[in-house]
Amino acid sequence: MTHTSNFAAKIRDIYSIESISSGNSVLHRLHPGAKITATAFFLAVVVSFGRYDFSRPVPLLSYPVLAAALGGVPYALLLRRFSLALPFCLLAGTANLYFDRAAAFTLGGVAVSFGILSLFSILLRAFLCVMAVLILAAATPFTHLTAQLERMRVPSVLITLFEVTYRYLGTLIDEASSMYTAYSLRCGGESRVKMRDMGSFAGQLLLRSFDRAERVYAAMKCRGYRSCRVRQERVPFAAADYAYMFLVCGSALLFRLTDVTSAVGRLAARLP
Amino acid sequence: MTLAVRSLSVVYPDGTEAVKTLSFELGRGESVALIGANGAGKTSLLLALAGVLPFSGTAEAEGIPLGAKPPVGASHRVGMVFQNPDDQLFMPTIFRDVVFGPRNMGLGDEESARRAEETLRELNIAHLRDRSPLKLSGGEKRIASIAAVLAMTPSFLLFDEPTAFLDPRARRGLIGIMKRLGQAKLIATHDFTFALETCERAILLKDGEMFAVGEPEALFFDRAVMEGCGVEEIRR
Repeated sequence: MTHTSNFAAKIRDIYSIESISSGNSVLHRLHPGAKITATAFFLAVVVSFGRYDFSRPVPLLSYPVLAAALGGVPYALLLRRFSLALPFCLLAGTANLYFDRAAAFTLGGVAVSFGILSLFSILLRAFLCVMAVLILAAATPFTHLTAQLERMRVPSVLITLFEVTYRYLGTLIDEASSMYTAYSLRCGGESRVKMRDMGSFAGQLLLRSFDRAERVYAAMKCRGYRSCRVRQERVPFAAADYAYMFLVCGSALLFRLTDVTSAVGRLAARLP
Repeated sequence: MTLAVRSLSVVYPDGTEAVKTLSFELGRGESVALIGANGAGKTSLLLALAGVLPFSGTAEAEGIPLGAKPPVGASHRVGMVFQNPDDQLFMPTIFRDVVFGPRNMGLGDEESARRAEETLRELNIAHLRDRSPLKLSGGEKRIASIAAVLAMTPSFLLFDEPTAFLDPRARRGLIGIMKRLGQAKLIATHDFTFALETCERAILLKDGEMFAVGEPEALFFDRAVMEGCGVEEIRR
C-alpha cells in the first residue's frame, strides 16, 4: 500500500462511523432525542463512580454490547476506534501506579495497590464512555444529531464548532496526504518526514488547511449552510423512544445505586 | 431578466480592488463566459454573486437582491460550482453531499432525499450514490458537484473553471450536460473552445474591469482584443 493510499484509508476510516449512521436498525429508527438523552445519562452515571470503583461499573458493559447488537454496529469497528483513545487513558492511569502505591488488598498473596485499581477503573470508564458515544454516532445521522442538539438548546456556537471540526478532519488529512506525497517524491521515497523539515511541513500544513477550510466553508455557505438555522421538522417521541430511555437510564441508575457485581459474587460464593 | 448587476465592486480587506464597478445582465437561460487573465477578478465576481464575498453596488436575481445576507429564500437562487470539486464535496458519500443543500433550504428528509435521487438520475450518476468522493475520477467529481448545486433548483448557475482537471472525454461529457441545463449560467473559464461551444456571450475582464463584451466567435479570434485583455487569442 502506498503512503497516499494509507492516508486515503485514514480519511475513509474517520467517516466509517458516519457511513453506517444512515442504517435502518431498531436503534437507528429511535428518536435522536431519546438516544442523546440516554447516552448523556449513561455517561453521567459512568463518570460518577469513584476513582477506585473497578468492579461496580462492570455491569454497565451490557449497554454497549446490547446497543451495538441492536444497531448492527460492528464490534471490531468500535474496538478499533477505542484503540485510538487507549494510549491517552493509559497515560492518565499509569501515573497513578506511581503516586498511589498503598495496598488496597491482596490477591493470591500479591498486593494490589490503589494505583492499579484506579488504572483499571480509568480504562473501564473510558471504554464505556467512548463506546456509548460511538454507538450514538453510528446510529444517528450527523445532521439529526446536530439538529437535535439545537432543539435541546445547546449553544449554537458549540454545535457549529462540533460540525466544523468534524468536517475539517478529512480536509486536514487530505492536505497532509498531498503534501506528504510531494515531499516523499522529492526525498528519494523517504517514509517519514525528517525532523529538520518537520517545522516547515507542519507550518505549511496549518496554513494550507486554513486556506482549504476557508474554501470548503465558502462552498458550504453557497449551499445554504448558515450554522444551525435550519429547523428540521419536529418528530414527537414514540412509545419505543420512551421505552429505550427508560431501559437505558433505569438500568444505569440501578447499576449505580446497587453493587450488582458484589451481589453476584456473594451469590456465587454461596453455591456449593 | 434573471440576473442584473449594477456597479458591483469587490474590495478585499487588504485594499485590493478585485472587481471595479461592473455592470451587466443575464437573460433567462442565457450562458455567458467570463474571460480574463489570472487575477482579472473572475472568481471574486462569482464569489460575490454567490454571497461569499461582500460587495458594493447591487446584484439582483429575478428582482431579489443578492449579497452576503440575502432575504430568506433567496440564497438558493444562485448555485455555484467551485473550481476544485474537492472543496465542494465534503460528505462521506455523494448522496449525502447532494442532500446537504436541500436540507439547508429547510426541506424535510424525504423531500431532500427525493430531490437528491432525482438530480443524480438526471445527471446519470445514480450509480455513484453511495460512493465516497475520494474514490471518484475528476469527471465524476465534477458532475457530482454540479448535482450538489442543482438539487437546490437554483435560477442561475455560476461555474468557476468547470473544465479544470478534466480529461477530453470528461470535458465532452460536461459540455453535453451544460447544454442541457436550462438555467442562466455565468462561466469563468480559460477554456475558449469550451466557451465557444456552451456560451452565447462573453465578457472579457481586465484588472477587475469590463474590457469587452460580445459574441464569443467575434471576440476570441480578435487578436487585438484578446491581447489587450491579457489573454491569447485562439487560432482558427
